[in-house]
Amino acid sequence: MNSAVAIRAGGVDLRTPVILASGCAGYGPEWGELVDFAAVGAVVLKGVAREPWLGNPPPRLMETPCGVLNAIGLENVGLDVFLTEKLPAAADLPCAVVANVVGREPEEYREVCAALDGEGRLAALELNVSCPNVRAGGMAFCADADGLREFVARCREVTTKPLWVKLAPMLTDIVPAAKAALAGGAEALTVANTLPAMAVDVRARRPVLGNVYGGLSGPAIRPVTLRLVHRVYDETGAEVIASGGVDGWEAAAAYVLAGARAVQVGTALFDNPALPAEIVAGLEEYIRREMFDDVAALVGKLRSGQV
Amino acid sequence: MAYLRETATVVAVEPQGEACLLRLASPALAAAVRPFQFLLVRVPGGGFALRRPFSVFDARGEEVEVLIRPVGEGTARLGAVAVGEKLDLLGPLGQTFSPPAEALYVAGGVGVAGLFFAVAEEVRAGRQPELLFGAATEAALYGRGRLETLGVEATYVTEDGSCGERGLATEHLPGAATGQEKLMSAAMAETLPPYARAVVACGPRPMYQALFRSLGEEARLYVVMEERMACGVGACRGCAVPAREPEGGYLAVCQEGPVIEASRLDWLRLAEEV
Repeated sequence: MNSAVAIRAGGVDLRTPVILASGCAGYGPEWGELVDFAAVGAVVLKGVAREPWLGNPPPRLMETPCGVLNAIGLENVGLDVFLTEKLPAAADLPCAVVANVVGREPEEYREVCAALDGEGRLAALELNVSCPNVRAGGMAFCADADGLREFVARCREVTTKPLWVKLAPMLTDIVPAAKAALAGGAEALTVANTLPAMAVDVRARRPVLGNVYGGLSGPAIRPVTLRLVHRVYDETGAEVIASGGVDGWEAAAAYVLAGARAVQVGTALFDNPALPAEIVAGLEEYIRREMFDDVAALVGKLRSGQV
Repeated sequence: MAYLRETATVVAVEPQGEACLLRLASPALAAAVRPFQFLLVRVPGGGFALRRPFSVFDARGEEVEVLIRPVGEGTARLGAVAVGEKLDLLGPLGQTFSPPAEALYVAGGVGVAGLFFAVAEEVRAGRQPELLFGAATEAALYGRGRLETLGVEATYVTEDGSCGERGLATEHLPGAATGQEKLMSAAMAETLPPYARAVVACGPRPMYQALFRSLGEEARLYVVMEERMACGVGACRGCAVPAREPEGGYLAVCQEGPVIEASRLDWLRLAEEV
């Protein structure tokens, strides 16, 4: 890999540091030619649970200032259909493919990880321990550092694939959770997920979302997530994959400077499916202008102190 | 999945009561789009995270049309575009649909936007589709002039009686059982036969509920569903509507719709939502 934007992150060789975030790219082929996969380093497929999940009642979406609230509820086809239909359909994608694993209890994650271990097309497994839209399974794992370390270690036992642990943003301090996931055997940390949030329809005097609460994504959460990425990188030196409100190359560059080796894009794809290509072009130009060799050389290169 | 992204130029803005009909020069989309399919339109000027979904009102030659009724900030901005401005379109999205022969089209207000293209295509193919078009007032019978120019056989119904019949469209279904007949059949413990004709409807949810109730469960009813939407391509599962199968499950409007046969929907859960 001699391209300036190629980078190795979380045990995966990425042609570019732009990753399609889980939940926004379906099981891979949905976007068709609207997304230029030549600019995509990896796609994280929609979360997969042991059994199919039906998801939350509608409305599941609400646009908010500079963001989107969603409460999809991890609707997914379940492991069997994932293995027989979805994964084969994603095989032709010209980028790395990562599975996102969800569950209601630790044992369920472990079983899914074990079942995916033999799938040659999967470059890594991302453990979603931070969905705000499911009662069990979701964020609860991140709050208890010992429990999280044990949980990641149990998944580590059943697979040789790199593990990315997708952490929750709403913790008193994200650093203990980050350290716990690393101690459990994670190759990388995805920082972070949507922020728990809600919206109210004042005319109807009802919550807008069928699930009452949802997760906030988009540029609205970027400053919050940027700080979390910086905290985790600063305190642990871990390989961080940033996820939160990336809507252009400058946001991507900010995350890389704060310590991320790659960035996930999600919400902004809905407005602009050409975003991955635009980010890559912008980063290449930036790297050239700032006279760095490549994107890897930019990671964590924030200047300190005052100008 | 041959989706296109095209920058269209606004060719004309035609006021339609509170709404407006935008004529857009968009040759690739105009050639590709079929009746009932829709577009996701980027709100010009930025600041909005999501595109807005619109039915293709009509498509001819190198132009597509969308009917925009301002309901929020995004649609207000779209409704205020001027001739010569550019709009960023994604499409064609959703499935096209061929209504059964001699289907009755039922439109409610701005819902005409979801049916006009199909009705117009029938007329252009030499058929005479029948349209029942209800709205609150005459001013909300959007596109009536266009329907008349096209020579569509339409029955207009307004709640205030300002145009055509007075009442709701669902009270004026040709050949449907009247309230009296329903009472009689109920008294004699008889089930009325389902409505003989297929019905293709686009309008507000309460209109669909009324049609489903009055036509009978066995009737061939097809509804154009609308739901808040993000991706439009079946990736995010945001535009979910309650399905009968699997029990407790959902259909994605963008992927399996927008036209969905009424028998596939869970009407009890739909009613809870309103």
